[in-house]
Amino acid sequence: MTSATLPLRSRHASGLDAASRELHALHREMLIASGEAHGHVRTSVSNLVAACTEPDQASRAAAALLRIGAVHPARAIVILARPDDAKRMEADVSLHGGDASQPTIELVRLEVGGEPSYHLTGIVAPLLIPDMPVYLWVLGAPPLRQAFSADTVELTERIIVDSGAYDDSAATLALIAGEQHRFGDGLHLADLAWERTAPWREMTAQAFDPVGSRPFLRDITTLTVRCAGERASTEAWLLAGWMASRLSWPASGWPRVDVAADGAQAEDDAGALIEVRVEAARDGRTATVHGRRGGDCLHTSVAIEDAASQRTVSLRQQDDATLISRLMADATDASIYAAAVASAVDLSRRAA
Amino acid sequence: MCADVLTQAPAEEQANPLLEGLRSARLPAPCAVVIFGASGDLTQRKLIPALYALAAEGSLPPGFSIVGAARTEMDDERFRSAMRDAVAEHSRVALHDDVWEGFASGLFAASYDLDRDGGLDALKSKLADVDRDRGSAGNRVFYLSVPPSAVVPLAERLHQAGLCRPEGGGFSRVIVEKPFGRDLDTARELTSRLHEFFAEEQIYRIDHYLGKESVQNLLVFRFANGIFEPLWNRQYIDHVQITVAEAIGVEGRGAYYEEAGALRDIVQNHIMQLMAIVGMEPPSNFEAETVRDEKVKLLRAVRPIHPDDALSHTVRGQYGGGWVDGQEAAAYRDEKAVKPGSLRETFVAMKLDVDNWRWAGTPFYLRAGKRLMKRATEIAIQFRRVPHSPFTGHIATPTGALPPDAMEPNLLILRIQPDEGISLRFSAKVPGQAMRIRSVNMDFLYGSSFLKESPEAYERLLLDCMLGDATLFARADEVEQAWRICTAILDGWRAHPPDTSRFPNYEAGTWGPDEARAFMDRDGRSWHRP
Ligand SMILES: NC(=O)c1ccc[n+]([C@@H]2O[C@H](COP(=O)([O-])OP(=O)(O)OC[C@H]3O[C@@H](n4cnc5c(N)ncnc54)[C@H](OP(=O)(O)O)[C@@H]3O)[C@@H](O)[C@H]2O)c1
Repeated sequence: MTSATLPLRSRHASGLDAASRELHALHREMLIASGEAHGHVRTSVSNLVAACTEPDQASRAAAALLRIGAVHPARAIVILARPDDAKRMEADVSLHGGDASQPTIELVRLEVGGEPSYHLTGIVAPLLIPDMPVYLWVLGAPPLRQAFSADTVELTERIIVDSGAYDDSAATLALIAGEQHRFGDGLHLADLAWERTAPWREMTAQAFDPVGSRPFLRDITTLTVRCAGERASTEAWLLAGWMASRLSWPASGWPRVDVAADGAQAEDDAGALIEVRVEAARDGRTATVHGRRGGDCLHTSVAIEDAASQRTVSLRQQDDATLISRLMADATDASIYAAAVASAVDLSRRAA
Repeated sequence: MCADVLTQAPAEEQANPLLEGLRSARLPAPCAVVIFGASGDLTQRKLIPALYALAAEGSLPPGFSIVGAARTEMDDERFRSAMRDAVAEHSRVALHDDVWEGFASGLFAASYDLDRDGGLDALKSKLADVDRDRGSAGNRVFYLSVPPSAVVPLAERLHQAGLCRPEGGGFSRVIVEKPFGRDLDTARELTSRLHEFFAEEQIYRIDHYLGKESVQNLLVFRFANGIFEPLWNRQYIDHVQITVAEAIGVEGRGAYYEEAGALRDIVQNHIMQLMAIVGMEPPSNFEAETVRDEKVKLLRAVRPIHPDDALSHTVRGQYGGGWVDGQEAAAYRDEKAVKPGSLRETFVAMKLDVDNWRWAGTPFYLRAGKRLMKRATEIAIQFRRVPHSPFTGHIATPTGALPPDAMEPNLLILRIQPDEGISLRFSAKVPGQAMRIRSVNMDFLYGSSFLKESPEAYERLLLDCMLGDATLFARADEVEQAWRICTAILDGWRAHPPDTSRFPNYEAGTWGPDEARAFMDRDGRSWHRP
């Protein structure tokens, strides 16, 4: 990863045209340096765009995009929008990763000041590699609504947000549900908070997968979800919403859903899931699936009547770059996410 | 218990809506993998590390168990400790204490005796315990990681112990390692003996090449890209070359190699599989039988080399001393357990014709060898030259212009290992006033494009077997067809043994014997240099 972080070559430019020209010039320099006979190939699978409003977000985004670019060769564009600053458009362009004959990432860091900051789509469009999917990652830009302009939705293959990054999880989920309703199938949203629940969803789905356990899915009595921190997190609600929507739980009545935080002061991992328990009873028999985080592992125990089994799996890395690469490699079903969000909104309202 | 809950459940209750949309939808049912030959090299280097990696990544179900079966006495604790060392040394995934604890709780040892009736009783009772305590419900995979001579006796004992037939809706599968016979007759004999105890659907013949990401990628390259398929035939392709070159020698397995040789060790299985994948017709779906039907059709269409033609259609070689990777390498005949006057081939090259509409007139040249210049497995597709060049006399070379037929034809290289990737050679204009043309290579390296770590071949194959997906395993008729082709060559070679004085005929660290070059020259072609 470090080799991707250091630029092979870089240049500065003022304005969009100049940024494109400098990018070409960098490729030409590399070609000359590597010797004409060697050839020079650019492989890319996507355009990765990060929209930020704070310099530290932009640095975080650039570091993450470089890591993603090492797995998905890409043109990465980091835009730092400063509407309150004087009007300007300054770009740093650089080539990274691979080796001199085959850089895997082109990075454009663009700082936009003044009025143009409100027209990001127009700024990004000329810099994109044609006919390659565009992933737009919106970092903590409050209000999140900015991400959902019709232009942006039209231009992008996927808009990546982190619904867990906002204080009010119920309001954030409600906003997302509202936008999904507004755009319908046209909005392709990816949510890092949802992605972080993946190991827990997999654990639960797998625990109920043996044919003998499946019938219990229809007879779940209690779902308990615990997260780190002081408030029930978006992730916790999303997990509960996912179970409720997949299993078509009624809008009221059973099963009992108990979503809460463990109340402990959490430094880095506030909101992260730490425990999930599913209890079911059918014809006088019981089944309990219990998942618990311990360090960087997820311990699962499945007890069906008197037979019990355990397993421990590594919890995959959950940093932004890893999550984004994963969701780019493997799109999960958007309708499942949308249904989970809608149910999460209902459940959190009921609990309030 | 589980079974009766299920039988009472209506169909919609047998569904698992939670799995939908998840990446890990492929989770096998709880099962026990029984490894015979658990004290062996393959178990320690490949099988246990692969199973551990699957477990660490959450690809195995709770209740998954492994029973290491050995003829020698072994208890659970000793087995766990030896396997922990094996994982620490060989696993792609780092050993993690917590994950190991969970994995090790499902690791058991059992001893067995092939030589007496009831010699599998201890194993059988261990499996019953595992089923009861860990919920594996009679689902079993038997991995026969033992020498070929032990395969049939083991299958027979499994049958006598009643372990071949699945009970109560579970599954019983057997994984058989190469070699699958020594020639067509022994392969048929092996198949028919195995069929006495297992149905063909239960038998998974493992060829680890098929589990490699790069080999699976060949299928994607051919059948997920619309631009190549129209060119993939005799009309546009001049010939195909498949090379499996190894830089290593026999690595202490001289006794095995004296029996096998390059043809049996590499061509009959790995190269024939690659050839089938490169040459087959597009399957209508990706189901095991459909894909394997297409592969068999291709192999069936390969024209056998008549024993009398074996010498003109093949080249045999054996390495002498030399230098490989900057190290001095001993001659084959000086390797341990190799006869001083051995005539065993460590290099083979051949030309095969395929008698079907797609390939008639487009030969496949195959070569495999040990102690070659470098390790490389690749497939080179050489396209036909342009029918007419309007650029006569304009080709840039250091010495000046060349005739039009010297303009290089397009070449597509599919590199399997190392440096997996694709290269396409095409002609381009050299910038300048004059019309000067030069070949350029467009290289695509997977390694620098997708840095994601690929799973080991054995991980994929073990998981597929547990899931009951035989697509990447060789079926009996594939093995038989590959042997049909190779046995004809072996017969020819036996009738015309090489002149003792001419072996060794290539130096370690080269691209094989001069005869291999002359063999291609004769057809007006040349070997691609990997
Ligand atoms: N190693 C590789 O890289 C590799 C590659 C491709 C294919 N293979 C194939 O995989 C199989 C296992 O390979 P390996 O290298 O692990 O072999 P190995 O080390 O020579 O033998 C494996 C185990 O088989 C048992 N065994 C030996 N002779 C036996 C006999 N007569 N009857 C029953 N069991 C016997 C021994 O275990 P116990 O004494 O404890 O019972 C031994 O530890 C072989 O068929 C080989 O051809 C291996």
